[in-house]
Amino acid sequence: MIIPKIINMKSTENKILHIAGQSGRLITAVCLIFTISFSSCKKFVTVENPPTILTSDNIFVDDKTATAAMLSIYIDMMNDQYGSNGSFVCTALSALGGMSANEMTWTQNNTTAPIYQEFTDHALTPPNTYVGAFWSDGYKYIYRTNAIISGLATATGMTTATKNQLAGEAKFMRAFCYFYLVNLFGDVPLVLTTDYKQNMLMPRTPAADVWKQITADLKDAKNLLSGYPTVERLRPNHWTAGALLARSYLYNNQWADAESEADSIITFGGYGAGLPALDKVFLKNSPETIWQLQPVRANVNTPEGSLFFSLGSNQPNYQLTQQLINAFEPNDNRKTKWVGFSNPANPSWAFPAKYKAGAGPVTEYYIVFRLTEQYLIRSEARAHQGGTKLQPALDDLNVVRSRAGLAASTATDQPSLILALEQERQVEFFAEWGHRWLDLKRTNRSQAVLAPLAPGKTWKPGSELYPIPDLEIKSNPKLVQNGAYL
Amino acid sequence: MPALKTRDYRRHLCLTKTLLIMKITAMLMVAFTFAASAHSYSQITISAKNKSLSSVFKSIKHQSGYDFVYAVESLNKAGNISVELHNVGLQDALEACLKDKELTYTVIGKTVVIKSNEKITIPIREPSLPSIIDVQGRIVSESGEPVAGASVKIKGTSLGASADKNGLFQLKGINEDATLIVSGTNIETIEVRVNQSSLLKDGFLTIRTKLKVNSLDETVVIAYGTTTRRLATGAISKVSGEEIRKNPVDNPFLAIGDKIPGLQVTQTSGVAGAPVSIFIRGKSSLGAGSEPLYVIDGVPFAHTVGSVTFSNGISAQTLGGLSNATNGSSPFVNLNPSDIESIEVLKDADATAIYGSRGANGVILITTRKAKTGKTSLDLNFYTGWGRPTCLPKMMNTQQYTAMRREAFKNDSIVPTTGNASDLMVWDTTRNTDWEKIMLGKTARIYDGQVRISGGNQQTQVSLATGYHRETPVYYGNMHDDRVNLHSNFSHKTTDNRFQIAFNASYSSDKNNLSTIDLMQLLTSIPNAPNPLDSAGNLVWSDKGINFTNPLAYTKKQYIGLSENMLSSLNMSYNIAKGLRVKLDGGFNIVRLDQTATNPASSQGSSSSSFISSADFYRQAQKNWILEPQTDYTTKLGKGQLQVLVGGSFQQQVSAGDKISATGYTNDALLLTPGPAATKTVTSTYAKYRYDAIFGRLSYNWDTKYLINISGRRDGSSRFGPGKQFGNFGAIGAGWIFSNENFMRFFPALSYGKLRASWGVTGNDRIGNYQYISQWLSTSSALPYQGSSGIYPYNLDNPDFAWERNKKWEAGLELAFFKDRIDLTADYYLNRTDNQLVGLSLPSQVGFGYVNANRDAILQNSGWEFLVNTTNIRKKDFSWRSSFNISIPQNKLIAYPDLENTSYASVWSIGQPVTIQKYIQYQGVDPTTGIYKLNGINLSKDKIEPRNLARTYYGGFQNSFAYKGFSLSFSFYFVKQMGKASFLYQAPGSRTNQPVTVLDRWQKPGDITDIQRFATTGPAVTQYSYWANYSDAIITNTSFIRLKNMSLAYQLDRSIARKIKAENVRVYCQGQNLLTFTHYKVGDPEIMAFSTMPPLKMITVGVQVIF
Repeated sequence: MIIPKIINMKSTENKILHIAGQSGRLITAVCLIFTISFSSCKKFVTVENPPTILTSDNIFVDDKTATAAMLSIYIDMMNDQYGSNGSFVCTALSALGGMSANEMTWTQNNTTAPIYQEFTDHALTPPNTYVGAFWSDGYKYIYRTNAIISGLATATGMTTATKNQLAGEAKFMRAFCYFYLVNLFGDVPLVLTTDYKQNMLMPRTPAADVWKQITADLKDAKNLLSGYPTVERLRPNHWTAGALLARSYLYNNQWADAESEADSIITFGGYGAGLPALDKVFLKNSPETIWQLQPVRANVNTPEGSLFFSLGSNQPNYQLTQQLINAFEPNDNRKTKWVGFSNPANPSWAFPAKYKAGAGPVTEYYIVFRLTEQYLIRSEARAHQGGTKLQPALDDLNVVRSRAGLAASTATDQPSLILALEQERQVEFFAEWGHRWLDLKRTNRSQAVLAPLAPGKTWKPGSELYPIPDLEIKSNPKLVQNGAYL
Repeated sequence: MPALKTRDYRRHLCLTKTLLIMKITAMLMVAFTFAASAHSYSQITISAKNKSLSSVFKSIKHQSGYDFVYAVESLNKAGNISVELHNVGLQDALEACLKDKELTYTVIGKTVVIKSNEKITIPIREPSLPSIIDVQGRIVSESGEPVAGASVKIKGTSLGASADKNGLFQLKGINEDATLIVSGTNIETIEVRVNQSSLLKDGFLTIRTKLKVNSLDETVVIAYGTTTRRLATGAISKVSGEEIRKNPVDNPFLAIGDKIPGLQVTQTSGVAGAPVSIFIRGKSSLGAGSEPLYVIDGVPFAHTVGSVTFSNGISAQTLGGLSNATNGSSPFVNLNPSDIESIEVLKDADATAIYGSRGANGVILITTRKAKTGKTSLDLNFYTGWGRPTCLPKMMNTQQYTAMRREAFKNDSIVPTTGNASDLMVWDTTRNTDWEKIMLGKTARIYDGQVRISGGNQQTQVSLATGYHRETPVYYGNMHDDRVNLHSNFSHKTTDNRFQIAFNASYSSDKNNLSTIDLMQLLTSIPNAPNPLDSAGNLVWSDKGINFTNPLAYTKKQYIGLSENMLSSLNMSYNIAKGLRVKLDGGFNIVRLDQTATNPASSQGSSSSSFISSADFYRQAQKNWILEPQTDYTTKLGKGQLQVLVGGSFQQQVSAGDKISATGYTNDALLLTPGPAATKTVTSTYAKYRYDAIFGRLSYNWDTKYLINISGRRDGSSRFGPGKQFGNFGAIGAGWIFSNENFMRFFPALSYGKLRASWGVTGNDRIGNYQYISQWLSTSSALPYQGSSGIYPYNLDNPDFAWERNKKWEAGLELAFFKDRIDLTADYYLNRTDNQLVGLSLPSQVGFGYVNANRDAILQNSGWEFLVNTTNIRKKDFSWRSSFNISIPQNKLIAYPDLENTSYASVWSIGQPVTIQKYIQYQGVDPTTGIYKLNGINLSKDKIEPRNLARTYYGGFQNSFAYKGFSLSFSFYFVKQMGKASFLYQAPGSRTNQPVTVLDRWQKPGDITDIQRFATTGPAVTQYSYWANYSDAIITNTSFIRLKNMSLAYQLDRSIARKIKAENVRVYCQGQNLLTFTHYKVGDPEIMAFSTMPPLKMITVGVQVIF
């Protein structure tokens, strides 16, 4: 029994020696292979950038690329589909703000109907995806403006003129986005950098501070911007910044500032001595346009033109409310020129018809700022200052009324003039940028005007603000919901 | 038969026992068999002068390839010969050699048996002494293939022999009526009487054995090699292609979910080609992908074209840029189930660590069928089937619907008018359309035909298979999903067996024209809507001035989805020295996708002037190559066997695609190409992914008792920034087959027992490419802005993120009892993922929805898995086998630093599963108001009820019976889980049809019910929205038991089959999803969504003929 064991061990030993001998060669070979492959391994997994992208260090290197970064905001504002990722532009504020302000309703039955219904009913829920799109899209553009502002600071190879122009546009756009965010939601986080680590847990900034930033940005923008950098009025200029500044002062009851800003635009004269005819207002290159956006979608003029304007004799999808139709005074030409009726048999089937072009060649641009608003801003600012300014305020109002074919306003005193202005703004700006929704809120008239119109008594104090989107609170526990939605 | 002469026999008797042993040992067949030669059919030329017969035979063997079997003694006795032969056949050569010799020959197959010609003198034997004979023979399997290494023992003695690799053996001088015990690791032990005439033919014994059914010794494919279940140190499960083919499914993964413990397969839709979600041992990553790595014939499968997350939170890998009825199609529909040899699922660190940074989520190895040595066979298989959805919600008819609407208005105190209730006040309230019957009323059909040719000799094997598969949905319209596939396999080895080469290629093309949406979404169309078609057959778009969204609009839209998949792999190996082999594996894979979706003006409405025809085109190609040089060395070391493997891996995956949105066609006939469109928007995608690695593995098996396996890998991925690309991974696994220990002799019932354990680290790089670079992309509008396009920041870049690490522990116990008739596997695993690669959800205020970053979070997945296989009855004509498996997974968030200050604060809690979701507490319907009562609606504060939506346990139970030619098998699949009830997001009462279950609503104060009052607007609708989206009322028991598969087959008697010259004829009937037992109310518990097609209940019949 012992002998075989010894033999066994010996053979094991031999085997080991054999393996050692064999593996010696093997190890040498393997080491050689690995040494060669190691150096190439690193090279192998270092891939070049894909041909579809630019990296951040290649953007602010020349005028053209840097300008393209700015243009992306205007393009996406006109290209994004409202609802899925739509922003303030592209019908979202006109339609949803209009529904909130009881200007229009959605008549079709589909999966989005309950989402629209929430706006009409003032029964918004924090998960409402359309509310979420307002928030997320605003901040999407704010990120870009912040990236441009910081990118320009270290830009090389750019001309000073372009640098100033782009810095002005970026500051204007940042203010533009914050303007709508602060109006729709109240306090919003004031994000001014692109550093996500710094911004991800930022709580809501008091609205007053947001307004301060808006006016500061707009003043900077006014200084940086001069004329339109290109033909047509497709990019903001000095006066565009002024127009938003005038509006911002008005919203903050800074009457004198609002008056002087609006006054300087009107007296500048570049937007015509008076107001153009009603059917010219929304055409491309309308003389009263201060800033407009060029449509970029295929075979579509403005999204409003294709969504609101109803062809055929069916019930329109976006139907103007009877309450709005009744607001037009007899003989108001805006009712005949800017409101459409799809079926004479159903006089309630009315739809917004400011923009009329759907498919086909581009004849209409998307108006963001127009001179009429400046007349009404100056009028309201003057009315609030009262005294000797009441008459010029009334004159401004009558400029707008006379263009609509109406007689001079019958308002006699400050309160009646202010109410007349509210009414004038309603019929002038219906289905346009949610003006009435924001007007009623800034004048604290929402509850008085809208609560009685809400079916099912769903209006609550605080309903004039939209809820902070649920997803945002989920992603940032520091955000606190608005009172009406708690 | 060379019987010994009487005097020899007597001499034998005189010998002592020791001598006898020595003699038999010496004479134990020197099996003069040599490796078969390549010159099988060549002519024989011999020039021999006074040469021994054995040397002449050797020469013949070399030239002809025939083996020779003879007794050395009889050849020696015959003496030397002299022959001169020139180009003669085998028979002539043998005749010449054996001329004048006392020897004759018989050719059996490829073996020449030489025996003595001496007259058999019947010995006058004494009654107590049987005659002594020599036995030559071959051990073969049932199918006639040689069984190598089997041992043959003479019963009652310790004598015996073992068969060589061709199954040949020889025994000398044994009793004529001796009983031989034939046993082996992979065959069932049998006893045969030597003089059983049926076995013995011309002195040559052919012993047919049964391959073992317990699968312990079946080959199991692992990373870079194979093993057996007995010798494996890792947790590996296998499903054979045959099992898969019992299921009439287009996606092979739908056939394995009930068979593999730890594998969670979820069907996302019942529509053909739908993606399937697959997890191995739970979701191991918080943010990065949790799907396993798929490897087909050694080539990682490039399948990540898209990923879709479904409403119930599961995600699936899909192909697709455009949406269709199934949210993209599964890349695996291009994998023909009939081309699959086996699917192995590697679960623990030991099995997966050699895949390094990609093994964290487990690995699925798919092996395609290979050609086999033997007679050329032609296999034809055809089946056809009929299917209907397992369950469809029953919707209200017009009478019920209009009653609901009127009640809702009454509840709201609103008077219905033509403005707010045109469906009641304008439209006809008596007409009734059953949309379910119109849109989903058809019977789904399935057709499948496969042809396979396979054959070859020892050196070269070739197979070629082709097939066609068609499925049609239950949808209205002419839709189908077709697949054509081709699979070929070629392998060759040189006569000296040193060089081997194998090549696999398969091509498959799948085309479907299913609708762009799942028609289940249209079931809510109201029943008194106008007839969808007018008398001329055109779509109707309005009735009495009220618009009507025609559900049949989809019939005008066209979707064509074409996906192609080409897979090829080349394996070469060369034996440098004994046990030392170099290998080169290479593979190339192309996945191509070509989708077209049209949106003609005619499908959008009646006033065509305001609608524009448009079409979307999506084309993508993914090319993937891999090269893996390897060296392995196998040697005996001590009482054990040592295997060493070292290798490298280089891989590249390039994916490029374009999406073209085309609008403004002048005519709808031109919609299928982008060219004629007035404007086109092109979005391009491009990604290159590179990956390289060096790896090694050392495994040692000591006396089939102690097993150890160590593997390591260092690899790099281009998905990480400079300095973060490389990572080290490795594992150690050990096994102890204690049943082979001596002391286990005292437990004869236990035939096999193994304990195994493993520990290791694997990684995960499942994030997108280029995430570490700040990317700016071009805008994709149709028209430029003042002649220029824009450029915008696309991502938040983070150059610092790196591998996610997954540490895996595993312990397993494998037992088999009663000669392996019962075998049991129990596994416990504990996986901890740290350095979590999280697509960190960010609030929109930062500008983006997420950023990739590593977090110190630790996620733990642990669980138990059990698998029991039993052979309940094993009789000659009847057998019954069962298999049961169950998996009990558990998931826990162990650590997440600073969780309360992250976006997951309201989602996760330390110590809780990450599959938890929090809900508002539902408190029933208020009996006085009829409105849902919720414990608050402040989503940030009141979502406090945690509900775990993961599976509590799941598994399968299979039974198979065989009686003569009949075989019957059925398989149950069970899942215990909570999930979402399928319901509608619109409150009952709005202008949307509802399932009849809502009729149990609250009607008057005092009613106690679970469904709130009907409402069209106001607080009730708001409350419904919170209830449906955020309350725990929607979380329900979605457990189910499903008769997943049933298969009945009849194999024609061989004698009948022979009449049509067939080897085998089989007719079969298969059923899928036949029965479902569940508490789930509306819809299907596996799908858990109202508007997704439930799985189909399918019955097929087929026939298979093998020639």
